[in-house]
Amino acid sequence: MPSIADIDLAPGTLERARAGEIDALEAIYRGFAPGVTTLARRLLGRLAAAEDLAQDVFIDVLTKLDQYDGRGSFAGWVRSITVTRCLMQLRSPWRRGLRLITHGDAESRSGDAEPVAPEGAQLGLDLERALDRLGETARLVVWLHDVEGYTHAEIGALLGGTPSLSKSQLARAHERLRELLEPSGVIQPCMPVSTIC
Amino acid sequence: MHARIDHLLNLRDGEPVDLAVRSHVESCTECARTKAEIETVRRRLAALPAVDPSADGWARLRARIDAQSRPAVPRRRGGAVAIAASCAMLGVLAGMLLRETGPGVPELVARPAAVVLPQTLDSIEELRDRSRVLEEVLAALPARPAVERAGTAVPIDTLQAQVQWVDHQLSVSGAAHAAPDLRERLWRERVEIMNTLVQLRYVEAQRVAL
Repeated sequence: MPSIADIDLAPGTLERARAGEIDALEAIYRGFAPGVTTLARRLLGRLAAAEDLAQDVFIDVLTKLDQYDGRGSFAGWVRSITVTRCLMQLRSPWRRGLRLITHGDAESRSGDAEPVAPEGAQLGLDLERALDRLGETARLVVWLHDVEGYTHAEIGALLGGTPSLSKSQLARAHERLRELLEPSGVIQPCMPVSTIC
Repeated sequence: MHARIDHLLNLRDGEPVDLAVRSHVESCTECARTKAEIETVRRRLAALPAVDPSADGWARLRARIDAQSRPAVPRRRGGAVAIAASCAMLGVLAGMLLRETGPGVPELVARPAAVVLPQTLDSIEELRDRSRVLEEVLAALPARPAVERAGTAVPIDTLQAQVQWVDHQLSVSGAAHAAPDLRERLWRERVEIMNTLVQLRYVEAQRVAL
C-alpha cells in the first residue's frame, strides 16, 4: 500500500475540480479514498471510525480546493488534513469516553495504554492485529514514521512535544510489536547481560 | 550489554549512533538479528493491504456536498456566537471552581498574568502575538495531573479540541488565499479559547498543588 503522498492525479483534474466538475471531484475521491481510509484506519484502529473520518476529510478537501495554495504536493495536503483530523478525533473527549466504556480501567489517563487481553491471547498475533494492540500514540508514531515517512521533528510537533517524544514512542512501539509478534512471548534480546553477548 | 532498541532504530534509520554501539551491533549476532527484525517490521507495515473505502462512500459524500451547496437559511454568525458562548460558560465555570478552592488558600501555583482579551487587539499580528503569549503561559503551568477531576478535565479537553479545530481551519485556509477577515476571526476565536483554557488549567494546577 503506497503512502498517500505517492498518489498522483491526472493532469488537469485539480483545475476541473475547482471549476466544480463532478467527474473531477469524483476522480479525486476515487484516487485518494483508499489511501485516506487506510491511513485513518491505521491511526484510529477502528474501521467504522476511519470510514466516517474519511468522509469528513473529503468534505474538507473537496469544498476547500481553492485553499490549496500549490505549496507542496496536493497529495501531501490531503494527507495533512487526514492526519490532523485523526489527531483531533484521538484527542476528543467523546473518544476518551468511548475508550473508558470499552476498556474500563485498562486505559491510562492519556489513553495510551492498550486494552487488556486474556492471558496468552496477545502473543503471536499477525502484524495488523499487533498494530491495533498498540497504544494510540505509539501506533500513530510508528505508522507516520515507518510508513508515511514523517520525521521525528514533524511527529513531535504534531503531538505538541519534541522529537524525543516521537523517538521514545517509536522505540516503545517496536518493543511492543516484537512482543506481540513473537509466538513464544519470551524475547528479551536487548536486555543487559552480565557476560559477553 | 546489548544495544537498546532506540539505538537499533537509529541505526536502521541512518541517524547518528555512538561508535561503540555501532561496532557492537556489527559484531553481535543477537543485536544484528533484532535490527533485521525491526527492518522487516517496517517493510511489512508498508506492505499491509489497503483498506477499501465503503462501497457507497462517493454517493454519501456527494449527498453531503450537494446539501452544503444548497441555498441555506442565513446563519446568524452561529459558529462565532457558539464559540463565544461556550468560552463564556467555561470561563464562568473556571471562576466557580476557583472560588471553590476557598478564600485565604495560599497560591501554590503562580497565577498567570491577566489574560483578558483587550478590545484593542484588532490586527492579525496582535492576535497572533497574544495567542503566542497564552501558549507560553500554558506551557509554564505544571503538567496535568495523573488523576483528573471530571469537572475540569472535560472542559479542558473540550477547549483543547476547539483549539485544534481552529488550528486545523487556519492551516487549511492557507495564509495566502484566505480572506483576511476570516483569518482574523479564526485568530480571535483562538485567543478567546486559549484565554479560557489558561484559566481552567490554572484552576486545575492549583487544585493539584493543594
